[in-house]
Amino acid sequence: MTEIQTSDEKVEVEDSVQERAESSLYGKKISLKVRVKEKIIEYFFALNGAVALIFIILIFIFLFKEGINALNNIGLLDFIYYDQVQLNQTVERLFEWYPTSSEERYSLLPLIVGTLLTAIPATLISTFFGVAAGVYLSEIVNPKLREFLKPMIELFASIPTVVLGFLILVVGATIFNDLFHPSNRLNAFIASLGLSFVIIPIIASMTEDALRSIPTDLRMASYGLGATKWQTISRVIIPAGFSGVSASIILGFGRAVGETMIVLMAAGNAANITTDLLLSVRTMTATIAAEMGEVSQGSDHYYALFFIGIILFTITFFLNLIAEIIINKMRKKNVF
Amino acid sequence: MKLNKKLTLVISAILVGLVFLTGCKKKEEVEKTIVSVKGSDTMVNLSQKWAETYMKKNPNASIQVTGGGSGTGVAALLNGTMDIANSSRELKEKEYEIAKSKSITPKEFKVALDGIAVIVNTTNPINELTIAQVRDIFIGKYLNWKELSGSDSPIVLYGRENSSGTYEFFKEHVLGKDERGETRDFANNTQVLQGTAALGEAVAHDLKGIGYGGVGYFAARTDVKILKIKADEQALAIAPAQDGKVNYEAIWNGTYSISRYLYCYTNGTPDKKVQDFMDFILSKEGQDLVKQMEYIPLPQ
Amino acid sequence: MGTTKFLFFLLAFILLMVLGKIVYEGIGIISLEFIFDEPRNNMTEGGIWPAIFGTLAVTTIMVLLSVPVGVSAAIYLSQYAKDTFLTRIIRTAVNNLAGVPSIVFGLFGLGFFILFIGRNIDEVLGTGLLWGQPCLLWAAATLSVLVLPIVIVSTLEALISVPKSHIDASFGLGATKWQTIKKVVFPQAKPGILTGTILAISRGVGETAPILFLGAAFFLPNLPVVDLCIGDYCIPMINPAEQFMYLAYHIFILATQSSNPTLTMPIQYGSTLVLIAITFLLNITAIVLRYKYRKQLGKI
Repeated sequence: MTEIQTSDEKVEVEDSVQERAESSLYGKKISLKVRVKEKIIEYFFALNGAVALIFIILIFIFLFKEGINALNNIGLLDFIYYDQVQLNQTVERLFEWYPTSSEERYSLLPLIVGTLLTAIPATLISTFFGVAAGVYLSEIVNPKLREFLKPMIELFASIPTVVLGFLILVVGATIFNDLFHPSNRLNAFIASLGLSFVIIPIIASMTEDALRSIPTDLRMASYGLGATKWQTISRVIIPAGFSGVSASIILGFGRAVGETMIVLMAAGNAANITTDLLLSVRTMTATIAAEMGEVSQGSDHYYALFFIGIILFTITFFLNLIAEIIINKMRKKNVF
Repeated sequence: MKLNKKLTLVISAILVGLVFLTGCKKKEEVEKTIVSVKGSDTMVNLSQKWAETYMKKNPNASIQVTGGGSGTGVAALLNGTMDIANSSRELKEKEYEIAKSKSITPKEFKVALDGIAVIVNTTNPINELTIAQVRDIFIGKYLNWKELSGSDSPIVLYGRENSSGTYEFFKEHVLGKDERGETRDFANNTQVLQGTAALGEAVAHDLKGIGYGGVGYFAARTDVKILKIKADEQALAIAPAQDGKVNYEAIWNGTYSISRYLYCYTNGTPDKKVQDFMDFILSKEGQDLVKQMEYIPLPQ
Repeated sequence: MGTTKFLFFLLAFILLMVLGKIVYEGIGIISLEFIFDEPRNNMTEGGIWPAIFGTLAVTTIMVLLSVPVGVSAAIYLSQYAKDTFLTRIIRTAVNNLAGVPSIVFGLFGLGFFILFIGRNIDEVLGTGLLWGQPCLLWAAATLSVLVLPIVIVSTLEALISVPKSHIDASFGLGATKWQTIKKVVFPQAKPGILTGTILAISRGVGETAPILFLGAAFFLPNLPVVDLCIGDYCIPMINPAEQFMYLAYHIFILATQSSNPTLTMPIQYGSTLVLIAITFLLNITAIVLRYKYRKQLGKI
């Protein structure tokens, strides 16, 4: 696995490069020892080269190893609803996440709704700001200033999410509450504001990359036809870089779905099924983070949390894949 | 390139220095005895205080305290990774069964008491509620404060993560069982916060909010209001704390009914290092610390 | 036009407000004592040294695990791999690994490192339950998988920018592939590797979600060190089998589970300032480094 090897042995045949060149000129074969060694080194690098792939597969295997028990113990339908028998023998259908009740209920619906209710607004806000920032950096600002501003975006992206979560919880929520009096002080909207901090830099820098890679000829042609700068941006540049921008939005959405600390601290974590942005919601990530520490290993609840992990992993995996395919297509079209 | 070489060197030096920290020091004559304590967040402050004082007295002992919730502590005890599990509730039948299957025999120590206070925002006109009213608020039967002769505004519920012992206790003792014999559940729209601090913060800022937590935590605070609780309409309403003072008598004699013992669990009869620490906790000095930390000491 | 400029600077303004708030609230408490002292009296006094040390310890091990592997992977991808189907899959895997939610890494660390590898090590060595539980090593190992893509991508960028003519010249002189990598490619890629390492540390320092259940502790009075004794002299080393405090986690628990928010708020802002300062310093260093070597290669 992640063994640390420093294959930094001395090369046996330490002739000077000059001598080697001569020897091979005179058709002297490279010794078997050296050839074997070269092969071993190549395989060593190959093993490390595949490490990312190996870990993707391992993550997949080990999530399933634990999570698949959930399907055996709980059952797929129970992840959607729970039929509660009332006193008068009528059945009430509940969509609730309540693993610690005496009647354990594992509906994932509130968690999925909560995840979407934080991720979608965050993506919309971030698209608006991120694309604007990307266009500004790529098309408008002078190159000198760009050199300085681009790293700023990186810094922006490097703020630890726990810091954002804390600030939203302590400062943001209070300000928002005083201004707008939402029905819940900690709500989906305030969490999505926090998430925007994470996604804006992603969308901004990817948009900037995509737009910068558009050939200058296009711009020149547009100006030549008498278009203004703004017309050029809105009708030539953005359509040309559209696939790059959309890939960045998809990636950003994936990040919003997978972000934990901000929603754990700021979304209020009530498992509401709602479309009201000003109510508390509970996301899939926050549920894992809050409940994983205390479940006894091997219980249904424990497996259910791994099952949520599988869902998260699958969603983000496909989002990343789609973004990747879009970017590769774009490269093929020789835009890059 | 020169610069990079230097940088690489500096960074390597720092890394190596970290692994081999501060060079050499004289070997210590006595091995430190390590006792690991894990569990209830309600008790983590108290446990820390005990640990701090105990370690001052016994320099050779190292008490490691971590929180995470009663469930976490108990799970760790059952997995055999902890010496002492702090729990703000008694072990469940299920947990005893698991313990049996893992050939662990949890031994119970009552170490202190804690009253659960029900708190509302200071602007809330309501000062007292019956137990039944509190229950109906938290299961979502009452949706508006005016149903309880308060102001006309929706009730916003604040609770704790289901890993917390406070949550378990409140669920069992206040919510109780319904007609079908199943324990009642908190309303779905209860906001779940990770700690009593976050909960207090939320209720302090939310005019419509109501929450619950250890009385010690709220006794000295002025930014939330502790409600008086009465057993039924006719009974006398008793507050678990007044004017910043915890009402010990009411909790000891049970007139304030939402109170519980705090427990430490060890595996079987503890060995000497653990027993010494438990003795300290139960000594007068340990119980004085309980008072100092705004919890309720065991009745004398 | 003007709109985008306005929006961009609005963002910059919001960001500055956020940073300003942290600096303004946190700067007052920053002192040598605060950095090098341990938390006292329920974290209402004292400093954050154990949290800083734990962060350093975890990231050190993380770097030792991830950088050699990541750099080797990048060397393979840039020097050995032909443009085959497998290589493309590997590249996709690297990008995908970067997009896996951090909490999923936490689950993976629990399932793979702790329950699978750790428990099996315990089986084989008969160490009871030493490695089969959350601890520093597994937290670092999990984080090292998390930062792997960062190391690979940064190194790759540097390796690809090594001029082909240099490599051809080396082969022309009869050097083998390995000699070429060692003598020509690697030295030119060093700044890129360093940048990758720095960015990886910055990411690792800020991650909280995966370590929530991989051994981060609420409060540990003792640093996770173990004495390596040779005769009478001992060298304290990082003990990978212990639980640890972590700066990012410390901020989380202070925000949610503080024993007294009025007293801990300054400490919390102080901790936040330290964390932000660390990540910013690291990132600025990385940015400057990258700028330098790009300039060297005449890319700017």
